[in-house]
Amino acid sequence: MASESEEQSIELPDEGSTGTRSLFDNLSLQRQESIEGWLFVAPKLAIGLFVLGFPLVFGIYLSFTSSSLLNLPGEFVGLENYRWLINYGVWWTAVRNVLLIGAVKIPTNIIFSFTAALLLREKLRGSTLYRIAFIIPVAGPPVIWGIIWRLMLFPNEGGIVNSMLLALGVIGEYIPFLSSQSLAIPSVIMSVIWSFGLSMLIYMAALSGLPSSVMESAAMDGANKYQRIRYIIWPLMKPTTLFLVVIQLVMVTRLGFATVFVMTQGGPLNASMVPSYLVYELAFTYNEFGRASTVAIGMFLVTAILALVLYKPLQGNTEYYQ
Amino acid sequence: MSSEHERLFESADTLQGRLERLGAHAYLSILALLTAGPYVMMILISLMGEGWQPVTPPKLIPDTWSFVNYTNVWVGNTALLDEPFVGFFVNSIIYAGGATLIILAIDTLAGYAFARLEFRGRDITFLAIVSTLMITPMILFIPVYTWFNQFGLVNTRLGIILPHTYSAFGVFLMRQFIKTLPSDLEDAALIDGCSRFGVFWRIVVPMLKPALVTLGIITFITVWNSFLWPLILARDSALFNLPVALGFFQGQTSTLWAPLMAATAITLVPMVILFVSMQQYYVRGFVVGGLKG
Repeated sequence: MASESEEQSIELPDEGSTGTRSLFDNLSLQRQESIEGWLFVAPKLAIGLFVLGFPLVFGIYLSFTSSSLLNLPGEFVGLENYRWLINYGVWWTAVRNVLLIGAVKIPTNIIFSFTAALLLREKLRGSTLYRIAFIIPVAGPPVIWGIIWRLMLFPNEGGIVNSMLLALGVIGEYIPFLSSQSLAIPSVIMSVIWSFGLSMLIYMAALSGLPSSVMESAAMDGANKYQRIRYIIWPLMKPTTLFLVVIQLVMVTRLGFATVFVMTQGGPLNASMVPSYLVYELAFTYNEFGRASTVAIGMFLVTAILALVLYKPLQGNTEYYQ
Repeated sequence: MSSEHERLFESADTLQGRLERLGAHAYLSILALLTAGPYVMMILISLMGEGWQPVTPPKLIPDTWSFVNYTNVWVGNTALLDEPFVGFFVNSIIYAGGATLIILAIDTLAGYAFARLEFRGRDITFLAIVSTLMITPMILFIPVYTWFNQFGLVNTRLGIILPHTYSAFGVFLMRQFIKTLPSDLEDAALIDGCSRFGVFWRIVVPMLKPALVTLGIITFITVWNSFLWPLILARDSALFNLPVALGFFQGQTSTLWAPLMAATAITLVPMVILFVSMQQYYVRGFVVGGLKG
């Protein structure tokens, strides 16, 4: 950075103070600010390295080893785990399931939250109640979605869904939603799609920032309601929509861990396995730390590929809105 | 929300306006039923006495209302769990409160440096921190577990708090907030000989109150609801937080629904109250942090 002579030349006029303080003051202002900057950032970097930086590097290394809890860091096995992963059917089921959950969850989240935000803007009677109803699922932990829907879908008279369908004569006998290979994942999806309240609040904030002049002139131009929503409001909401979709895409690998833990444990026969639960099960049930790390890195790669593939189409033509 | 905004619906005096409102109510009620209906059922069952048994057709209005499940769960006096739920409640407060305090301190300091100070490597460091948003806990939990094991942090309260104290979002939010503040007062104080930390503490922090409330609430709710880290790092049920306790105890029963629903309500209701009463702050965090970023 600054050389010795530069420091001398920009020396501070204040020569009165003594001790460490004056040493510090004798540094160039630029260097002072540099030291202060790093001091302010230091706690953040320390905690980041401790809980994220080192673990991340170690996690990548573990994915190339045959580690277990008692055998750390285990033997280096090269790409062996990755070869295993590609041929591991459960892994592909898990990837398919999480993509399926995301493919239902993200679009429904956008549709529910956008429509609810638009309608709540009309100041209907009871809109506060509606708003609270939509907020409840996002305020609490996802593990509760799992517990509640496990109860709702219980395969006896305790499950209100079964119980109602039977009372209405739609079904002849109780459906074992969670122990059926074909219905387990739809059941998990059912439990996670109602948490759109936060997106709704974000849309409401964005809608309240809309320039009213745009809407008024559109109304004067004779645009009907559908046209105003479709061709004016929706495009103006594009940055918000993009933000909500991107955030949820980044979070897609986290989807379903708690609900699967509670509702199905990945079963029956791994039919409802998701990658996060697979990592947990491999590590803490089968003590396969190496392979579990490989699954985690594999899922990260899937997310990265997904982000790269979807980036352009999502971005679209944004210059228009800026 | 401004009250002057252009409405989509016709006036409620016209037939069309009334039909439009009717349609909106129909749509919103169905959505609310699917969203909040299960939670209403949860509360109703929790108030029905310990021996609640399901019947067909479903019967959801209790004959007698009773808080016995809540008191039993709270002190650990049910067949569902013999450990007092109050312990998990206290753990949740310690984890969420501890992580929130640490994040507020660390991220405000770092956010200030990234917003106001010039130093070499600043922008690349900031970018590196923001890009960690992409890292999911899934990648981290095995190495963090083994790493914490080395330091004796597994199965300790500090160990459970620590993974929650790194937030890429928090530092981003603080930086964005501080950038919107005028810096004249800070410059004047610096010229008057105030130290950098003095400027930060006496001038910047007092102006940051809304931002601190925003980040504080977001962090508190997130950590309160955390499931994965406490699940892995608490080997002892005495260290469980509420979600992990729920996750474990629900697996041990298929019949004791009433106490389980009371336990679930105890976990959820404080967060609903916090979220609903503070929603303006909560949302502002995402608007400032995400949309204007």
